[in-house]
Amino acid sequence: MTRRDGVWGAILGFIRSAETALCGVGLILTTLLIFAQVVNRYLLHFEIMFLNDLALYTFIGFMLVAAAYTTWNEGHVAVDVFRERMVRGRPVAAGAYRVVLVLLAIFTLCLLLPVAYGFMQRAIQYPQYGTLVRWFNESWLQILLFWSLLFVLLHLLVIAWRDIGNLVQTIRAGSRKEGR
Amino acid sequence: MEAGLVVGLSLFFLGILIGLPLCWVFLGSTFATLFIIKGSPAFMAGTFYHAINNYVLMAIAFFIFAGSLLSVSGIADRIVRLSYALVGRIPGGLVDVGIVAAVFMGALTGSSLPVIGALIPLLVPRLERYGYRRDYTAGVLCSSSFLGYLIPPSVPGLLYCLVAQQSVAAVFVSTLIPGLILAFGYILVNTVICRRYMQPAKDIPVLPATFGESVAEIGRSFYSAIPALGCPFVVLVGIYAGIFTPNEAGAVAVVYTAAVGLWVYREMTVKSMWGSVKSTLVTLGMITLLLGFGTVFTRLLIREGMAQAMTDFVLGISQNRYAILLMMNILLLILGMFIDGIPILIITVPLLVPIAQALGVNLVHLGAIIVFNVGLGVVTPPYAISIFVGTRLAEVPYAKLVPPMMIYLFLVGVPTLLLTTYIPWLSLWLPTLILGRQVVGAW
Repeated sequence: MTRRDGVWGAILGFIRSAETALCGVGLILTTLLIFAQVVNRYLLHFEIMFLNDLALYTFIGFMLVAAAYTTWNEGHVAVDVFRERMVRGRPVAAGAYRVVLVLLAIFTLCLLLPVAYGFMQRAIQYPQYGTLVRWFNESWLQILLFWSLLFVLLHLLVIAWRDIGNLVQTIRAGSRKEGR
Repeated sequence: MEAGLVVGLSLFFLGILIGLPLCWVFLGSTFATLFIIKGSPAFMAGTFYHAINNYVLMAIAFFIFAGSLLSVSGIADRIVRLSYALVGRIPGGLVDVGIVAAVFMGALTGSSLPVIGALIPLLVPRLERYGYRRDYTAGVLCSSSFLGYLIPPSVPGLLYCLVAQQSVAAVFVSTLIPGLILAFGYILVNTVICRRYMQPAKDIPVLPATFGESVAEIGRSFYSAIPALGCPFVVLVGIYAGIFTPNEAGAVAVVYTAAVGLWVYREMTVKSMWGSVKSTLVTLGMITLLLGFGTVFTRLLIREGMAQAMTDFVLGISQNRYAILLMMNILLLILGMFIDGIPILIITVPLLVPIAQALGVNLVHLGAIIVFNVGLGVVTPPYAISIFVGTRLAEVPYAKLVPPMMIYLFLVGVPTLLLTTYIPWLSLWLPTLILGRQVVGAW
C-alpha cells in the first residue's frame, strides 16, 4: 500500500466509523426517547410534550446518514436475476457491467445534487424552528440531506474506483493467460 | 398517455431489468420524465425530505430493529421448544413445529427474513437427523416466512398505512385471519405430503410417552417461553387498548426484546446487540433512499395524471369489481416475482388506491390484499428474497428448494389470497369488531 492509499484509507475509515457511530447512537437514542415517553406517561405521570418531536428529528437525522452507511455496505436492493444470467461465466463482462451500473448511479445522483443544494440554501436562508422543540432548527436536517447525499456520492465513487481496479486486474489476468 | 410518462415508465422497467439498484431506478426515471415534459426538479428535495419526516416510518424502523435483536436474544429457541411441545406428535409434526414457530415469530418480528434467519439454523439440521430432507424443511420454512408479514405487527402493513393514510391498527389486524388460514393450510398440506420427503433417520426424536408427560412438557416449555411471548402480547394489547401509538409499541418491542435477551435469557451480548444495530441500519438506509426517491417518482406520476389514466384504463376494460381485483392480484404477483416488497408498496399503492376507491373497495381490505400479495412475492421465484436467504442458511441449492415451495404456493398461498380478495369478511370482520366501523369504513 502506498502512503497516499494509507492517508486516503484512513480518511475513509474515519468517515465510515463516524457514520456507523452516528447512525447507531441515533437509532438507540430515538428508541430510548420514545420509550421514555411511554414511561413518563404511565409510570411518572409526567408527559414531556417535546420528546416525540425531538425523537422524530433524531430519527430523520440518522436515517439520512444511514443512506450513506448502506451505500458503502452495498445494501441497496436491485433485481439482479437477469444481470447474473447475462454475465454468468464471463468475469470481464461481469466486471464491466458492475462498473457501468455504478457509473449510472453516480450520474443520476449528480443530477440531484444541485437540486439538493438549492434546498439547502433555502433552508439556510429561511430557518424553521420546531413547534414544540423551539431551540431545534429543522433547517439543520434539510442541510444534512444535501451532505448525506454528498457522502452517498463519495461512497459510490469509492466503489466505482474499486470496481474499475478489479476490472483492470481481471483483464490483465485474462491477457496473461492468453499469452501463455 | 403522455410521452413523458411513457419514457419514465419505460426507463423504470429497463432500469429494473438491467439490475440497477431500485433507488437509482426511481431517481433516473424521475429525471427522464422531467426532461421530456420540461418540468422543474425543484420539488424533488422537499418531497424526499417530507417522505422520511414521518412517525409511521419510525415505527417501521423499530419493528425492523426488534426483529434483528430477536435473532440474537435466545427467544427463537424457546418458541421452537413450545411449538415442538404443541404439535410435535402430529404426523409430520416436526415440520409443523417450524410453521407454528413462524406464526409466533411473525407476531414478534413483523417481517419475513428474521423468521427464516432464526428458524432455519435451528430446525433444518435437527430435522435432518430425524429423517426430514433438508430441501423440504428449508422449503417449508421459507414458505412459512411470509406469515411474518400477515401476523401483526407487520412492516409492509405499516408501509401501506404510510402511503395510503389508513389506520395502522385496522390494517395490522386485517391480515390476521388470512394468516391463520394460511398456517392451517400449510400444516394440512405438510401432513399429507411430508412422507414423500423423508429419508432414513439417524436419530429418533424424544417425545413424551404419555398424555400427562405431554401436558407437563407443554407447561414447562410455555413457562420458559412466557418472556418471549410477552413481547407480542405487550405490543398488540398496547396498540389495540389505545395505550401506545404504533411507534411507541415499536420502541417498547425493542426495549423488551433487548431486556429479555440481556437479562432474562442472558444470551445476548453487547457485541451481538451492536451487530443487530448495524444490520438494522443497512435496511433502514435502503428504505430511506427507496422511500424518498420512490415517493418523488410516484408523486410525479400522479401529478402527470398517471393514477387517473390508470383508473380510466382499468375501468375501461371492465367495471366488474371482481375482475379488477383479480387483475390487481395478477399485477402484484407478477411484480412480486421480480421486485422486493417495499418498492412494490411505494410504487403501486398510490396508483391502486384511486381504482379501489372508484370501485368501492374498502381501503383496509385493499391493504390486506396488497400485504398478502407482497408476502407471496417474497416466496415466489425467480426473485424471492426468502429463497435467496434460505438457500444460503440451509446450504440447499436454489433449484432444490423451489419445488416443495411451489406445492405450498399453489395449494395454499394462492387459494388463501383469492379467499382474502373475494371474501372481505375475512379481513374486515376482526378490525370492525375491535375498532368499530367508523375506523374501518363501510364494506
